[in-house]
Amino acid sequence: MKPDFMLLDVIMAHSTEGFDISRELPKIPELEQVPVIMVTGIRKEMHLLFGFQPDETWLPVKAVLEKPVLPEKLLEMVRQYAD
Amino acid sequence: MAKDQKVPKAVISRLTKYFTWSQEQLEDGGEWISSQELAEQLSINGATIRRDLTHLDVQGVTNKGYNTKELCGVLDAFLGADRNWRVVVVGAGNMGKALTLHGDLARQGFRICAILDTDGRKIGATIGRLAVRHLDELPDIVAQEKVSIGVVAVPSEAAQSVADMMIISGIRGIFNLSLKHLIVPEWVQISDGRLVAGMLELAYAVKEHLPEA
Repeated sequence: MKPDFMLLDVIMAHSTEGFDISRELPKIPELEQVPVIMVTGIRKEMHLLFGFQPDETWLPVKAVLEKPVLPEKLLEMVRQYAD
Repeated sequence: MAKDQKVPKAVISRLTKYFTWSQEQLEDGGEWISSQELAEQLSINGATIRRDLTHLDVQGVTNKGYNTKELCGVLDAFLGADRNWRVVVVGAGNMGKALTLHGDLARQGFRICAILDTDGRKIGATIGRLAVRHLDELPDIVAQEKVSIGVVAVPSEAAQSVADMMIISGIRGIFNLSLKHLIVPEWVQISDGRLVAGMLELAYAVKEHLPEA
């Protein structure tokens, strides 16, 4: 079953696994067109000074949302990117 | 030539050779360097050298060449070696250790602030004046020490993950000593150490020049 939409965390088995997954998804024909939104608390977790943004090759997602995510903001994103 | 014009990588690569050779000449007391001398010593065409040096604000003097001290200063500033670059090394294996202990890096303005690893057996061990710290400390070290360059000295399978950590920590230049092709965003600069690629190129060149059996 092909999902309409994907929410992807960053810190999973290791601290940057979400980045790896975001780069692998476009290589899977069934999933390459599925919009991905990254939802992460890594900035707070790792005391990062900067946020980060989608990048065509390094971070091929539609948007990055920082936790805690407001439900309205998430719904807005879903409406924007999911057909 | 305008200094802000984008200079091709091949030119930058040659400028670094002129820089290190000129520094040696300066240390040996050489007051002047001619493009012909540079050409002979570095096996680079003289015209290429003169063209490369048009990227810099430096003028030669007829029958003397370039003032060594001035040339070193201009190259130093142009290449950014006059800044005190703060560097972290990730990977406390043989490669990371060798780099951390390499005296020439400090001489060229690269100050290694920390060496990090994830291997519990290496954490706390001392390499030169530094104790090996855990990779989880990277974001704090980058922020506190204002690190702008990171060296990836880990096995291929861990290299991309380490590069990702460096990027989100705020590092803007990565020197890749691993064999992995690293993916970075356009705002991060990358330079590959190409140790194995260099050896393969050498092996091919040697093979091509071997007498036929």
